[in-house]
Amino acid sequence: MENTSAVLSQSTGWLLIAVLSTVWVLLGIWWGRKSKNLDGFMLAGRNVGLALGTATAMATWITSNTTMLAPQFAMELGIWGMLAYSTGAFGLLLFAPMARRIRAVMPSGYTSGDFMRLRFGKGPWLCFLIISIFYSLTWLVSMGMAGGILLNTLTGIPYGLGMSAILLTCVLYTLFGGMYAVIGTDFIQSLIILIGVVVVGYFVFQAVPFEAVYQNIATERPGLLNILLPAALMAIFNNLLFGIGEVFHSNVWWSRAFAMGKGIGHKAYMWAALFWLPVPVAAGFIALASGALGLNIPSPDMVGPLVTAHLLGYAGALLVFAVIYCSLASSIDSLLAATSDLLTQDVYGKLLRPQAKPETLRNVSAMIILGLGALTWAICLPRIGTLATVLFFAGPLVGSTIWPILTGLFWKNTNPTGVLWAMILGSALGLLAYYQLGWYTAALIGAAVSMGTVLITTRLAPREFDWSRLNESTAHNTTEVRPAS
Amino acid sequence: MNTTLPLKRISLSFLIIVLLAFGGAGLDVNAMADTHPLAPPVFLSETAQDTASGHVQLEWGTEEAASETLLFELQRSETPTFANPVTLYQGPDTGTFLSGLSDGDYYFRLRAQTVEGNARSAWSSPLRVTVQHHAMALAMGLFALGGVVFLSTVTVLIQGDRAMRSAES
Repeated sequence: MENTSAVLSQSTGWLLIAVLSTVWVLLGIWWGRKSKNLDGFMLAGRNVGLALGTATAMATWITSNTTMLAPQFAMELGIWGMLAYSTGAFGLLLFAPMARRIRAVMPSGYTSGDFMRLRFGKGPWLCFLIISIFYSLTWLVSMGMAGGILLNTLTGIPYGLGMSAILLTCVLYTLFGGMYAVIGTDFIQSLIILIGVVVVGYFVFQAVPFEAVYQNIATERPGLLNILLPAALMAIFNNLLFGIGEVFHSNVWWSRAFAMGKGIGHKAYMWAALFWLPVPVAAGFIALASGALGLNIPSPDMVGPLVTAHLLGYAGALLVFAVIYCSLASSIDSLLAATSDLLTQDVYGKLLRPQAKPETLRNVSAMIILGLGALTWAICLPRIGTLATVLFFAGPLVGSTIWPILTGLFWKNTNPTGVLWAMILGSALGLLAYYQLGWYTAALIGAAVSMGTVLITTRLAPREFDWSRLNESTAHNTTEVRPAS
Repeated sequence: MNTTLPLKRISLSFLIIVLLAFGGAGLDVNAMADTHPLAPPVFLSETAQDTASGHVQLEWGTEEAASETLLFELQRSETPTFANPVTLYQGPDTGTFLSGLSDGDYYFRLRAQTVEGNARSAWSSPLRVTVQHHAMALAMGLFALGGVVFLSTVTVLIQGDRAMRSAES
C-alpha cells in the first residue's frame, strides 16, 4: 500500500539519504582502520568503555521497532499495548548481571553460539544456531521493511527503492569498519535519536491536549481504554518475555558483552535500559493522538511517522526522518555484524573449516555481511505482512531460549538433553499458539513450555558441568557432561 | 390583477424550468464528455473477516486506471442494510486501520468519486467483520502464566548473580 500524502518531496528524501549514508560510510571507513585483526573487527578490541557501551546498547535496542512498532502496539492494543512495548526495557535490565557473568566465565569467547556449544554440546548448539539465525533474519527483514515504509510514508519514495538504499548503506559501513564502526556510529546515532525524541515529544504534548486524545479514543476506539481487553492482557507478558528472549540469546548483545571492558557491561546495560524506557511510551502516545488529529492511518506500522510529520510539518518530517533512519541504521549494522560473527565463528569456523586461520575468518566475515544484506533485501522486497507479524513469528523461538541460556549460565546441573527439548517443544507449541490464538501469545507459550521442560529434566536427571570448560583459551575443548553426583 | 398574476407565475416558472433544463443539460454534457461512470471500488480482503483482537486493517482498490485522481468514502454500519451508517474516511488513501472494536458484527462499504466531484461510483459489495474477543478466562490464565515465568526468571537471575558475587568476594 503506497502512501498518497507524503510530507517531504522525493528529491528531499534522496538528498537526506545521500547525506546520512555518506557520513556513515565515511565514518565506517575511518574507524575501520583500527580493525587490525579478528578481535578488532569482531569485538572492537574487547575494550569498549562505559559511554560507548551504553550508547551502543541503547541505540541498538531503539530499533525501527521501538519507533514504529511501539505506536503500532498502542494503536492495536491501547494503553496496555503502549506499556507492553515499554517492558522491552527488562530485556536490557536483566541482561546486565548476565553480561558480568558472561565476561567472567568466557573471557575469550566470541559468540552466544560458543557458549551453547561449550556448555551443552552439539545437539542443543545446532538447534540454538537455527533459532538464532532465523531470528536475526526476521529482525533484519522487519527493519529493512521499516526503512522502506518510512521513506514511502515521509517522502513518497517507492518502498523497494527506499528499503534498498538503507540496506546498502548499512552493509557498506559494516563491511568497512566492523564492530569499531558499528559502535562508533551507534554513539552518534544514539545522540540524534535522543535529541529527536525529546523535541518531537515536546511538540506533540504541546500540540495535542491530553483531554482531546482521551475523548477521541473513548468515542472512536473505546476498546483501547479497556484495561481488561483480552488480547492486551495476553500481550503484556508476551512482549516482556519476547524482549528478554531476544536479548538473552542474541549474539548482538553477547558480542557487546565480550566487546566491553572488564566491569563495564553490567553498568552499560543498566544505563541503556533506563535511557530506553521512555522512548516507546512517547512513541505510543504519539500514535494514540492520531484520531484526535483526524488522521487516517492506512497501515498501523505507518502511524508514528505520519502523526509526527503531520504535527510538525516539514521540519518535523526532516527530524523524524533523521531519528528513524539512525535507529534503523544502528540496529541493522549491529545485526549484520553480530549475525556475521555467529555464522563465521560457529558455522564456518567450527563446522565447516575448523582449521581456518584468523585472516581467512576475517575475509569470510566480510563475505557473510554481503550475503546477509543480499538475502535480507530479497526477503524484504515483496513486503510480506506488517512489521509485527514478521517479527513476532520469531517470538516463540527466542522465548524458548530464555531458560536454557539462563540456567546454563547460572546452574551447574542443567540437563543438556532437556535444554534441547526445551527449545524444540517451546518453539513448536509457541508457533501453534501463534496460529491458534494470535501473535501476542506465542513468545509467552514458548517461554513457559521451555521453562517447564528445563525444570523437569534438570530435576529428574541433573548433569554436573565444569565451568572451566567455557574458557577455551585455557580449558580442554570437549563438551562432555556427566551425571551430577 | 387577477389575470396578470397567473401569467407572471407561469412566465417565472417557465423561465426557471428553461434555466434548469439548459443548466442541467450543460453540466451533464460536460460530465459525459470528461468522464465515464465509475466502477465501484472493491475490498482486497475476503467478504467476511473474523478477529479476536478487536482490530482490523481494511484495504481496497479500484479497476479505474486513474485511481490516483479518485477519492474514496468508507462507511460502517452495524446492520447489513446499512441503517445509520457512519462515514469513517473520505480521501485518497487505499486503506485504513480500525482498532478498539467491541464484540459484534460490523459492515463496511465503499464508493469512489473523482477529485473534481463530477462522477461517483455505486457502493461496493459490503464487507462483514465479526469481532469476538478471546474468553476472559483464557486471557487471565495466560496473564498469570506470564507472571509466573517472569518472576521465576528474575528469581533465578538474582540468585545466580548473588552467588557469583559472593563467590568472587
